[in-house]
Amino acid sequence: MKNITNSFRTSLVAAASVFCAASATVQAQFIDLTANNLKVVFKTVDVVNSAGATVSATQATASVVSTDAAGTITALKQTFVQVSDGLGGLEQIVNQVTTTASVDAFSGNYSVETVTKVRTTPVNASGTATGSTTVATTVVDEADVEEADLALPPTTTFTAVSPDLDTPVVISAE
Amino acid sequence: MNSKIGLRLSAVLAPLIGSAIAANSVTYDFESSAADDLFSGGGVSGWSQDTANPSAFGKTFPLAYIAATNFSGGSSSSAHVGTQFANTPDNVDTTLTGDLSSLPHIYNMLTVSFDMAVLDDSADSFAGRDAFSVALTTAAGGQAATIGFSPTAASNDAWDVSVGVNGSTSTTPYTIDANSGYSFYINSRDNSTEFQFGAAGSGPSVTIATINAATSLNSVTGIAFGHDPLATAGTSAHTLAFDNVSVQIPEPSSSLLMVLSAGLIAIRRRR
Repeated sequence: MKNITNSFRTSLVAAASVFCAASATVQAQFIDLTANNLKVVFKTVDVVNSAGATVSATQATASVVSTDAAGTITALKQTFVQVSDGLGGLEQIVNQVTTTASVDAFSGNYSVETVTKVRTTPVNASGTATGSTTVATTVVDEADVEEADLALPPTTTFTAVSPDLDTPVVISAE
Repeated sequence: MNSKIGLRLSAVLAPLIGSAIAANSVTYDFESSAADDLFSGGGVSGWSQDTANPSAFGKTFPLAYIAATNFSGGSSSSAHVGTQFANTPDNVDTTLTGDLSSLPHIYNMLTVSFDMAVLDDSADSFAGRDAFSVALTTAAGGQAATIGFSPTAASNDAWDVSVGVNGSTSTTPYTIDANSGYSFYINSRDNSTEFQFGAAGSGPSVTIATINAATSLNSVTGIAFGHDPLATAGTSAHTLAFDNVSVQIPEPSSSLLMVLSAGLIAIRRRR
């Protein structure tokens, strides 16, 4: 029995490790930030920190939208901000929002599921984690949403310009 | 005998020394840089960037970088500055400055040329458009000669060209199109400054303007390529690409030194 318990514990630890590793990978790959057609938008915004205080900070936003063959739209939006934690330290707050809109073949309307994960990590001045990450997850389901009412985040991707430039015609204005 | 040898040596060396002293040019073609090299932190030799690249998600996103561009003679490394991959949250300008301090400014003359293009997809979701500029700058922060590119009001993919000296610019009838390669030229002399441009690699085909002389050319220490965000922060995604930057002290300095050398030789012969 003791062996079974130990074995069970080992499995739990292993499973937890795998979960953490997988979670880290998922976090890192939530949006491919190395893509050469993605712009990260930086804006100054007001953010509520863990202490409940509103602080001004630079927020980075990246978002992508894709549609599969069945017409299901998947929008990924990720924001990042580093702010005072209200306790003399700093924290990084990463919001990851996944919106999945599945179209109904008969009505043409959408069933929309929005999963929001807020990851908060205490960090030092150089942005290195000094404590564990807490994750708060919320899920919101909506049914029978018309296409015009889909509140999808604007994509921050762009069409990369060809490095082969056009040859202009330059003539005198006179 | 010694006198004859010295005379011969002088005749050979003097013009060479004159030419060597007057071999006054600085060229930046970025071929020693690799794709994705950053200008910040001295990442591109001879260049500095005045605004820090923003960071998020544990990654730095560049305001200026090296990427391949084909201006006319084949794809090669070129410089890029703008908002293609990131922007400053408070719309601060980003300026890349190439070091020209090695130029011995004996005369108030400079000849400048560079290839450039504004890279922008006017059909993408980033509808904002910004201004760019190129300027010969002095250590005191002045601009001896400037070429400006401002968004054309009635077009989504054209920029108005303005030129000027001594810190001011005036509009011209000329525009440039996005994603097209151009070469620009500045010929500045004691009494006038001439601005020209043409298709990249084709030489100057149009004189934009010939205006007053730049009064501080002999104290120019850099050539600055700037991005001026006009659109709301985060609403533009375009860059100024540039390459083959060449700044020269015009040849008359070499000729003059050779004449001086010849004079010295003549004096020595008389003795």
